[in-house]
Order: sequence, then C-alpha cells, then structure tokens
Amino acid sequence: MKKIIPDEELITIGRMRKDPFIMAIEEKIAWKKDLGQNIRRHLFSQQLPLIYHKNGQMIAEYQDGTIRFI
Amino acid sequence: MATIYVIAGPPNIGKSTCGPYFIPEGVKILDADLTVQRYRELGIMNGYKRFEKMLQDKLLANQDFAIEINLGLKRHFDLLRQIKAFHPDNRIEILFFYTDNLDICLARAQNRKSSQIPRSLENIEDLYIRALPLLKRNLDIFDTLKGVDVRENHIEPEIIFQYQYASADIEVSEKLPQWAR
Repeated sequence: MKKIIPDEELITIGRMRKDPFIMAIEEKIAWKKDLGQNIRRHLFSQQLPLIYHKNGQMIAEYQDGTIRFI
Repeated sequence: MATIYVIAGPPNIGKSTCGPYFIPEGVKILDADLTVQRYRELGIMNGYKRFEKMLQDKLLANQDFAIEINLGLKRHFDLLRQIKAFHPDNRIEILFFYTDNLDICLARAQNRKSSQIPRSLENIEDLYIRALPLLKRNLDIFDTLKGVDVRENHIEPEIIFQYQYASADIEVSEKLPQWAR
C-alpha cells in the first residue's frame, strides 16, 4: 500500500537508558519522578487526563491541576 | 540476532504512554492499533497492511525493534509465533503490563478521545480476562518475561518480576500482586 503517512508518525522510540529492574533505590526514585512527569506531559499534550487509583478512589487529574473524583 | 520487545497488556493499561520508558533508547516501536487508527482517520480502512509491511521490513533488516499489542486474542500469539519462526535465533522479550484493578483500564477507556478506536467496556473486560491465561499457555514464545504492575497509589508502573524461560529462573523485586502469584 502507498505510504501516505510517514514512518515517523506511526513509530515511537524507546527511551530507557537503564533497566529499572536493576536500578539502585536512589536511581529508581529519580527514574520514577521523571517517568511521572513524562506520563503527565504525554497525556496532557493529547488533552487527556491522568487517571489513577488512589486510596480506593479513581481520580482524574487535568493539565490545569484540577482533580476530579470519578 | 535481534531482540524483539513486546509491549503487551490489556487495552488502556498504559502501554503506549509508559511502554517507551521500558524499551531501550532508540529502539523503534511499532503499534498496530496506532497505525490502523491513523489510517482510519484518513478514511482508509486497511491500515493493518501498513503495520504488516513495517513489521516485515524490520524482520528482514534483522534489527532490534518493539511491537505493542494487547495479547487478549489467540491471533495475537499467532502473530508472535510467526515473528519467532521468521528467525528462531532472535530473542523475544515481553513486558507484560497488568493490574489487579480492571477499573483503572475501564476508567481510562471512558476518557479516551472519540477519534481513537472505540472499544466497549465489555470488550476491554474480555481482553483483560483472556490475556493472563493466554500468556501462560504461550510462555514458550518468550525468552524473557517482565511483569509490569499498574497499581493503586502509584502513577508509575513497576517491573515486579523477571522470568527467564530457558532456565526457569524468576527474580522478584518486591511483594507480588495477586495477578502475578
């Protein structure tokens, strides 16, 4: 089929510099902090909320900082 | 010999969002759902053929690459067996994202954009239920299995175990969730 959409728009790229499974505790704490920021950036750039479960409650967090219980 | 990484798990568990952070830097990740969706947005319904072509090109080039797939259907494992058979020396490493809390996947699904491939909540639940037993029946495909837990009170998924098929060695990083026991 014709390549209407370039490869770059269909492919994502791995970003792992070190396997988190073998990280020391301090490294993993820093890695998790970065990952949390990257997750937010990724979702918010697509106008999606971050949804997670905390203390028995499902939460939607939005780019403007709004927290909604769902 | 190449390493082929498989980012797997039920829909809306966070494979696309978090998967790249568990795949070595620079390795290209192919995603059938994304490819189909992008072509569908243009009104073209056979985007899967493009995914198959990209997959074939990667296998022929004998390069490391990754694919993202939900593994809730037998045909997903059939695809992985075809990939394995293409070059039996290739290593296949799976990162299996899973959770004890299906509601996380369902809540995320309800907040997806309308342009994305729609899935009913029943379909997501079905794929969630099927994924684990299907994985157990097809463990021989994978040289390494890493279990990635999506859990309560954490935004970031965590690799909780690593299993080597050839030696049957398992390394566990911390207390296992129910699904991994």
